[in-house]
Amino acid sequence: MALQKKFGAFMFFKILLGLITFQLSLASVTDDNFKEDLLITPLENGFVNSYFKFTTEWNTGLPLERLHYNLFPKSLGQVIRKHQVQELHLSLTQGLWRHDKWGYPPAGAPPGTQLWVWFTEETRDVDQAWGDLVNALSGLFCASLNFIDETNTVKPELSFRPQGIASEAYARNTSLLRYASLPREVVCTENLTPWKKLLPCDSKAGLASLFKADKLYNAHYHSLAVDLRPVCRSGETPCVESAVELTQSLTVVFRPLVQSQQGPRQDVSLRALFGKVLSGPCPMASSSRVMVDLSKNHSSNPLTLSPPPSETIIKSTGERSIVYAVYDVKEWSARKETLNVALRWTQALKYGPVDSPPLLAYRYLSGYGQEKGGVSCLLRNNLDQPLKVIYTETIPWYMRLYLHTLQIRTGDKTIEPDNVVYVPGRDRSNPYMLEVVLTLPATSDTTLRIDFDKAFLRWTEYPPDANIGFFINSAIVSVMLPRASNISGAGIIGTAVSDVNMASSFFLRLYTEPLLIQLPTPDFSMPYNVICLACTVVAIGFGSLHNLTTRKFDFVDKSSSDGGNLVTRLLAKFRKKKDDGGKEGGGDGKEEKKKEQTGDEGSIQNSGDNDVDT
Amino acid sequence: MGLLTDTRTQAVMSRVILAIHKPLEVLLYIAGVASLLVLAFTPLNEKTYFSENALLPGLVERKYLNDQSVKDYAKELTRLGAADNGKGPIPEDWLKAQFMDLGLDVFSQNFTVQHPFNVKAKGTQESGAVSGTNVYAILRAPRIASTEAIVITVPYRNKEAEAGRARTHYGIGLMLSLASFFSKNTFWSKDIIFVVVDKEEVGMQAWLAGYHDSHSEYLPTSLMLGRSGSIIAAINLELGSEFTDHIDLKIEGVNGQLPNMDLFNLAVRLCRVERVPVTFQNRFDPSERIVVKWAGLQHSATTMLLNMAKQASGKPSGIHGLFLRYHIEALTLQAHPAKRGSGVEAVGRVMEGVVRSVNNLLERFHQSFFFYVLPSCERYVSIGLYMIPFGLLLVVPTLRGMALWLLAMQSVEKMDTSSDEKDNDEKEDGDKKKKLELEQQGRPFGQVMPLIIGAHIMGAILFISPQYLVSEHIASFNVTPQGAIAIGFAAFFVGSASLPIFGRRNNFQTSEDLPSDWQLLKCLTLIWYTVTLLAVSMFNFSLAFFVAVPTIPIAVIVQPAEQSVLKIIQGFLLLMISPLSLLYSFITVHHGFFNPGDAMVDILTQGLHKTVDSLFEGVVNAYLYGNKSFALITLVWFPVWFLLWAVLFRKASGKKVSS
Repeated sequence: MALQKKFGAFMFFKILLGLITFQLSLASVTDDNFKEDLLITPLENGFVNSYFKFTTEWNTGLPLERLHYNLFPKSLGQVIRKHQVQELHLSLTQGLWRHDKWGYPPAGAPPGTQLWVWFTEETRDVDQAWGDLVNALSGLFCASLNFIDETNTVKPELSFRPQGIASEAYARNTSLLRYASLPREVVCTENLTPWKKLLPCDSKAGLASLFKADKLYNAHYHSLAVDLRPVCRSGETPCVESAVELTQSLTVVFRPLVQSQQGPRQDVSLRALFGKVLSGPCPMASSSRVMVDLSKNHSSNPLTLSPPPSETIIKSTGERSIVYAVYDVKEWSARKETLNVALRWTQALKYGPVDSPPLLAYRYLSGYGQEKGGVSCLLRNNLDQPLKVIYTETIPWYMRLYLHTLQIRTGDKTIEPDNVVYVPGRDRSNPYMLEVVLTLPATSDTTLRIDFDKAFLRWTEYPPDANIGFFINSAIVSVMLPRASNISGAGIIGTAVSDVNMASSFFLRLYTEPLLIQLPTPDFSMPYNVICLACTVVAIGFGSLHNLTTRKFDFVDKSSSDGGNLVTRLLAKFRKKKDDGGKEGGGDGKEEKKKEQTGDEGSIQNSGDNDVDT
Repeated sequence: MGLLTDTRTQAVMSRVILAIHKPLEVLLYIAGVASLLVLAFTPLNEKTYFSENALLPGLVERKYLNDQSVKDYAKELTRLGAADNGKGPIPEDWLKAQFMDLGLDVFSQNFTVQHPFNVKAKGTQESGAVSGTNVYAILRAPRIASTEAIVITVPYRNKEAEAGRARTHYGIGLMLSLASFFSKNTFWSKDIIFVVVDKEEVGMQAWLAGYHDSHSEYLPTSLMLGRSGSIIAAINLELGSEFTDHIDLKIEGVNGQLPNMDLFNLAVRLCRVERVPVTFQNRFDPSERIVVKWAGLQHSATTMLLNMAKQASGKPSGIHGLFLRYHIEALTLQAHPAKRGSGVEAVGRVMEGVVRSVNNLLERFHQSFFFYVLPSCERYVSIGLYMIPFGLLLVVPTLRGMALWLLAMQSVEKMDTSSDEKDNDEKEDGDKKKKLELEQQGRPFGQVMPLIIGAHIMGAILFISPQYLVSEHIASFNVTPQGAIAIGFAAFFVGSASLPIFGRRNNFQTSEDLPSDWQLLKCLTLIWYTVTLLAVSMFNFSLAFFVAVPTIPIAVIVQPAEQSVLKIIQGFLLLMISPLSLLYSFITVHHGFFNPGDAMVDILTQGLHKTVDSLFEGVVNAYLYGNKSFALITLVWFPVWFLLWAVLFRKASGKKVSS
């Protein structure tokens, strides 16, 4: 009995324990983690980049099955669940990241809107899911993503790989990938508001409280991004279970110049940049940090920080080191102090040439006129070793590319591409896609050029502001750079900026300039005139010409038909007389001869025949 | 629908044409010329207006405030330009440093333009190539991804290049000062490119070709790193002094292309707002007092004719003219120096206003007119108005062509009837058959077509001749390329003109037993001439008009003459309208207009020199800038002239008729 009792108690405890452990495990499963970081990077010539990064990690598998949300935004989670998204990368950008002046961005994005999505293997109809997803996202972010349709969607085979954990077989199955870009759809406040609503604290607390639209959009570059991918659960070295990582990032480049006696000064502070200071972290955040990149602190014009940072992280890659000054916002709020990080240089700004990053791309239009043209891209390899790059173009159907015109030249030498993937476009259904794998020789300028013809659009296909031209997507240059030098923000892939992996080589995606082309555009301001003129010309010109060219003319013997009528005879006589007079008036100078002739053959019938001839 | 097929109306029409075409032609010709000139009269044309509302001209408060820095820049430039006795190259390093100090992206473009004939031309080095360096800086607009741009150009002129051209050191100073001012503002929605152009047109062309990556064999590729997007508009500034008497606006481009009229209106409006006097063709607008009087008409008509003369020349009136070919609206603001007047600041504010207005644009210039002539800054004559007088003018040769077409048929008939006189009895039976034959045999195309084709082949030979005339054999003769071209053309011309005179009878004169074909030949020539004039008027109205006015009456009256006096008179008139002499007369008249005090002989000889030069220039421009005038003259108008010349030497009529 006692045993029974003991057993019963044991069972009770076991159940209790089980319940507790279950609760614990449930808690650990719902456990999600939120981090916020701000990285301020002073750039050359007075520019300052501020990179906000908000990371939410949720220990759950993909596709999302759970219905209970904690920190992870439910509105986005439902969309992802519904449309079976494995990875999602969305960016909304205004302005162009100037690689030659600013180095490489912490998170690259083309001007305009870019969206690329990997769907799960279970997705039955990827195109359908893609179509529904863009419409859902369009509503979620108040962006015109619904303009993404089959005419601007491509499936790149080489340049986009899953960024999260994925099996090799999955990563090769590009039928699950969709990529689209809208170069004209720029970002503004109406996109910022829904974007910051995805954050656990919105913009009410934490780093996001610095967001003030008038400051953020008065910048040289502004890029909002949302990236979702499956990752390994943090702390697990062999990857057993996956987690979902949502990264929301905002990159803003300012040029906060202040005129002074010695020249322009680029001193910055949080208050100067954002019009606010930091009063505290987001309470939900496990870590909240402000960092300043001091890697490019020249000894000639050193920069001082106030207040002094709580710690300094130094990471060395051998030839150069990355130095971050870190402020823990939690620490400051514990001290009940506001944080206003200020960077002050000892001297005024001196403009000068900038060190070139290892790989640069400049894209431009070749030729002029409304008939044809070429897209050229100059790829500059500054490294002393060859670089293998993937060059990707997505061209709308109304620019008819000719693959045989693809030319890749370094100086006078033609370079053979290692691989070319080309998907020809079809009118009004799908765009042209060109992916070229090529090896750039060491320290060289390589020009890639492909020619196109401009198509005529139907008159209803022109947008209302047709004369601005048509925007063409940025080209994408993907490369594995051998050294992690010259990255302005680093932290491209690492979950937080400070955790950046200083691996010997890293992957980089460069976005070039978008292009603006002019298609032959009708003069819409005077359609009425044009229609009237065209109809008149057709009616008169075509009608009579058609008549003349399709009829056979022959002579009719008038005398046999009805030459006898008195009236017609009189008329004919009258005509004949006038005819003679006309000839005299014509001043031929051969009057005598003519009279003689007409006298000879002066019968009514003949003159009637003459009428027919003349 | 019966208009063309009903034989009766045809007959009536042909009789009417034959009856009244001569008086009608005289009337139409006079009406055409007079009505075009009268269009310059203010009550008959229209006031300019802004068609593109997005420009919002002069609406923003212009804030440019700078005086001293421009003066300093100009002084420094004068000092730098004086080095090497004013023969030094463009101060590239200094310019780059200045732009760099403003925080702009600075680039330079080295260019070498091969001279088409690889010979030493005016103002070039021994190699025959022109090389120079353009310095340019790009102000990146914060809000766009470098998809659109506005260009401000100033030609660099050191002392050597200044001959005949105003200095521009204040222009460069003002450009730098504007760049500094612009870079402090964030409202730019288009990149602004500041270009200091070396070697005038050649440098501008090199820059444009480099920017658009469109190279030719004369413009070798040069690597160009700094680019922006498509250029919306370009403003060329020529400012050589601190004070400006007035700003002259220049619009004419290569092949007589004009910028969109909105841009011109914009410049006029901003000059007015800033109280800078503004002129067109260096002529102020007629004052209110005289505007509706005879003097007003005279004034406006002269301005309009000067505008048309420049357009007809096909040469750009400033370096802005090269932009137009790339569908970039462009004009030149040329400030005329004075001891006192509008200061640099006013000119700077005009520039600021123009650039900011263009910056407001959402779409490219497309609203206003691209085809127009201007009798003053505030009035315009659009294509819809000026084509009517020109149409009247073109009816003249068309009418004569139609009349000749009818006459050509009659002369064939006459030939036939006269030869059939003997068998008068069979006549009625064979009448129908004969008519049918005639209809099939038709007008004597077989006789005239070889001549027409031959004339055009000669034109084509003339077109390709410059390379052979100059490059191959110039070394053997002691002549300049200018001379070689002029002498070569003159020789070719004399040779071809003498062909009908000394040529074999059956080639150039109708043989005895064939019907006379001069009517048909002339008819086809006139129709072809009309068609070409109409086509040319579509892109360079002024050129077509200036060619049409003197040539049409002579082309219409030329016909074979039996009497030698008539023949000589006609021959003289035809020689007067030959391409070479027309060119000479235009240039002489133009020269005479601007130098009214000179002696007649001086004007005539100066005209000759200028003709020789401009002939050469025309050929070179055809190769370098795609100027079409040379092609037009050689491929179209020379053959037409030659055919008219051949008409004169054809037999007046068939054997029997003439006897």
